[in-house]
Amino acid sequence: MNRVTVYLMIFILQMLTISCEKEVVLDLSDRQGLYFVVEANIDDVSANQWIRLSRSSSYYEVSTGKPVSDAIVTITRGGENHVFTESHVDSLAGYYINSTLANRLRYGTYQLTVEHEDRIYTAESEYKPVPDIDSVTIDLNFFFSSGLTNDTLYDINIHFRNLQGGGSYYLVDLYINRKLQTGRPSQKTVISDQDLEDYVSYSVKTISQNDLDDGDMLGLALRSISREMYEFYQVFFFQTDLSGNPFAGAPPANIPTNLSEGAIGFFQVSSVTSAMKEFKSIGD
Amino acid sequence: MVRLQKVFRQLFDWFFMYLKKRVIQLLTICFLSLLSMHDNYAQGFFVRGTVFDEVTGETLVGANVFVPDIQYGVITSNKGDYELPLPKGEFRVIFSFIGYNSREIIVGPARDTVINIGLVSSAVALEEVTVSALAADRNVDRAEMSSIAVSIETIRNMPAFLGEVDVLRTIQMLPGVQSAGDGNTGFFVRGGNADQNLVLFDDAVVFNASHLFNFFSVFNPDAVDDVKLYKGGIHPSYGGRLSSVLDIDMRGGDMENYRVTGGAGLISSRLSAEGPIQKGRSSFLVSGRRTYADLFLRFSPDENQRDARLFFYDLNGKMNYVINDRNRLFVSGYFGRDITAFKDLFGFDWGNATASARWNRIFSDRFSGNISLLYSNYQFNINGDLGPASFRWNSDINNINLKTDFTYLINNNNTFSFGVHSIYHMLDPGVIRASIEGASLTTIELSQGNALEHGVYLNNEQSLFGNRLVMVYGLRGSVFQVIGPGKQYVFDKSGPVNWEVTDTLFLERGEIYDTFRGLEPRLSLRVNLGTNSSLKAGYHRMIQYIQQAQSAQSVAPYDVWYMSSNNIPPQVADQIAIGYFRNFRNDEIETSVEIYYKDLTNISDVIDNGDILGNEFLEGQMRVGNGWSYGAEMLVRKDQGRFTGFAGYTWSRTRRKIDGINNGKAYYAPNDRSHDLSLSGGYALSPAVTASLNFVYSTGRAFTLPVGKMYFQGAFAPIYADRNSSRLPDYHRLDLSVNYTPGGGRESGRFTSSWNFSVFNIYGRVNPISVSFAENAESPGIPRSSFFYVPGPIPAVTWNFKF
Repeated sequence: MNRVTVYLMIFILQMLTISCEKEVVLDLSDRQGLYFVVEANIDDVSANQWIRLSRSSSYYEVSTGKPVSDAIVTITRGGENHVFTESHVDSLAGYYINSTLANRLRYGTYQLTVEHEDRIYTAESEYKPVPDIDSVTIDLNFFFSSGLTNDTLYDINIHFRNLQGGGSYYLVDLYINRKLQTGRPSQKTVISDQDLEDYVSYSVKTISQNDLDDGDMLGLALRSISREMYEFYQVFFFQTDLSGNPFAGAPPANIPTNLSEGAIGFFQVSSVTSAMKEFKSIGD
Repeated sequence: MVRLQKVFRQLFDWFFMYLKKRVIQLLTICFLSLLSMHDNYAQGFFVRGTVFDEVTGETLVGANVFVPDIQYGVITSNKGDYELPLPKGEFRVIFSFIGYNSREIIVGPARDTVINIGLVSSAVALEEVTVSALAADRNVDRAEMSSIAVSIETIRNMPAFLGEVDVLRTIQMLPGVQSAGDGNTGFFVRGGNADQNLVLFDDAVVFNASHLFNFFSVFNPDAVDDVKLYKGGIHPSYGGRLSSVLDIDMRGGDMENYRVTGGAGLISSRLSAEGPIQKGRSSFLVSGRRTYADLFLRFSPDENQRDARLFFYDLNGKMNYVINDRNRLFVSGYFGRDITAFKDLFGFDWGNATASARWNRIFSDRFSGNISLLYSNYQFNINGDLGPASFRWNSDINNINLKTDFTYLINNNNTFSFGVHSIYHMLDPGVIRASIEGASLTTIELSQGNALEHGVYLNNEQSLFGNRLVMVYGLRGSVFQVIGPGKQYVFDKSGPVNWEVTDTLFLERGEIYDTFRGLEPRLSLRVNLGTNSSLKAGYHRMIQYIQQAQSAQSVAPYDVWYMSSNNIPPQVADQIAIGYFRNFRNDEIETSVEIYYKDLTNISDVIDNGDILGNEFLEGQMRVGNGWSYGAEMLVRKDQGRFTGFAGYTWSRTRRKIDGINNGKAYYAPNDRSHDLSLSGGYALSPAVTASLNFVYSTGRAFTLPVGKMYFQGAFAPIYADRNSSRLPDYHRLDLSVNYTPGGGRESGRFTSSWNFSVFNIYGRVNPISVSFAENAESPGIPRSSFFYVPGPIPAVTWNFKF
């Protein structure tokens, strides 16, 4: 039973207490555009690597954030300089793209530098090895198939050998027929090797049979990440899925970042491996 | 203000360094000087005894014992005892108490005497009562400051929430005391957390003094005798909590007649029975109550609410036994439970249990003592049963306390007290078990802990210059030992957010792993500036070894207790206070102004984005640092006449600065409330009808609100300002109560009754309990924010009876 279930149970019980709810629009002293947002996830798989720069928006505003133009974006390692060029496609406003870095990544520490309007934002990330995935298995989920729902559910499991030396953190994405299913941070699975044995068998996702057809190809991509990025995703999940729960523990605070000069977001360079499995329904 | 803080800090540092080097010498000098004090009282004598209700036999707390010939007097203790030092000669001694006829006796010329006095209740409690000059000037005369005694009669006359008279709601209206808020457990004193208040019921610790999320307290007013709150100048016999002591005594029962009292209302009912076991020698009291709000849920149109259960019950019992003139035995107990449940699917219950046994012994005319054995338990249980899946979390905390307290009258000007306390703590936050059919059991085992906490204290109350100056000075020494079985974690503290566990230490049974110790000086001074005014000052140091992990947004019944360790050192509070006290119109009106400054060391708080709920590595989510609070409190109070009431105002600030939280910057504590105003008044319209009004106002609770949002990987995440830099809307509400006593309260016949009509929150103010943010289902990307609040106005009717 994970903490999600604990939260849910207690939250439901709290709803039984004598209280009322009133929707309000708070005066939040919003300051639009105050923060510089950097979304930089670099890996050794995609030919075109991109970094998105934007500004924060007002809390009640419907906006993905005003794109940032005319920034100078580079990733360096030693004497290597990889420049990211701003896209001039309307739908890619704020995106900066590089098509050569992925093939040149070598293990070690990379530095991101973003220069914009007389300010320089920097961050570092270590590019580390990632273990190969031994296998992907699809197993019937007994909990939800035991009568609480008519829906048949499957656990998607990943199996691999943990890296020696400890201190490893991983992120797992799910693809169905090569289409990313875990694009949002709260959909991703992050794993800390603190709770793992040398050989890892981990349930990544639970999917309803209604969302799958026989013959669908399920793919898992295993990515090495830093401890900081692991904590980034942990906090992101709680911020977006349980925000405002008064019984959640500490007051909310900003999601951690590895960027300097007050910028928010994250910079990460990851090595990725993947494996696939064809889905065949097992039945009740 | 920064400079003032620096000055206070330098004074503390100097004082502590001096004490550490000179403490033994200081005590020796004081003790020897006490023994050598001689004045014209040297050949005097003592009169001591107990003041009690002639009819019921119950002791009277705060009764006045006055000698008009020398304009000197004392008041009875919370056990009803008094000690009156007199010079050689014969004297008239007047015993008086509000609502009772006075009695006068002659004592002397020079012989220590034990005199137990019974007083008879006067005719009508609501009529104006004339009392002797010193009856109401205890606030001026006593060396105690930052302490307030509230009679149960005052509490009964205040507007009641849902018709229920409540001790904690009254306390929370006093200056310097704030409610944790509707729907939250506990209260705050001078900026301290809810777990920093030592709540005692017949000397046994009560860990959670709230029923139904702070809507009611665990104290049945029919079972309560005396309520006293200490916010400062705390006697060294108390220890273990930083901010306050709320000391409540249970009634002992009528020693002469059998009586039944009770009440029935819309939400709850209560019933008490008392009487003699052996007339004049022993008595009993049994009291119980239960709410039945969930019965009304059966009529709800909402199916989910119809299947919900929501109620509490509690039981009190006490036995008094007078063995002889020099020995008394008291045994009491409390048991209470809160229960919320939904069908057979989910259940959540919590509650306290206490047991107290006290032997009061008068060894000689100058030497008396109490030996007490106390037990306290608090537990909560959360369970879920979904058929093939189940979930269970049982947690409790227990302590067993052996207390010895002694008082020795050295001479007319010196009363010396001392004692030794030992507490065995057993903290079991519990094991969270989840099972799924066909799968293995999942458990999260929260760290269990055991500890021994010892305290030894010395204290002297000294009167100088004809009682124009009174000093109370004392020292408490405390030791805290963490004992196995249990386990402790070693953390890697280099992480940017979380500490990760690198090692686990398993403690063998009986193995002492950590030992903490400290000295806690206590000092109070009172200087009489005239017959009706005084200046007081006080200082105390308190050390707290066990604490509660609390959500900063709310105080909940499932907040677990944990103990000091190598990761979380004991918390320390140093408080200094100065006050001016003045009475008017022959002590009919009491006024006081106090200012205080409190410095906190090793104060703990949850890290940014911390996760404390059911976390087995709880210590890794906490950080320690410094805190400070300061403020000014004003009180005007009138307890006599047709109009009674009080007005209290507090201005205060409470801040913390802890590395690892809020980027190491200082921030407001969640219980920071700049302004806090309470007005309470009752007017006897006639002997049968009394109307009362309460008005409370406080600055909105400090809260962390978003100031924007970012878009990242297809999702929105809020961006927050500094911790607790925003405010919820200010809290205020007005309550009304009317009490109707047929026949005007004059007892005619054995059966008497009264009706109470009350309205809570007359104008329906929306006072938020919390703020919730969620995705707006109708407009993705636009958050939806909501207040949760207790609705109003809420009327209530209660019928009270006695026979």
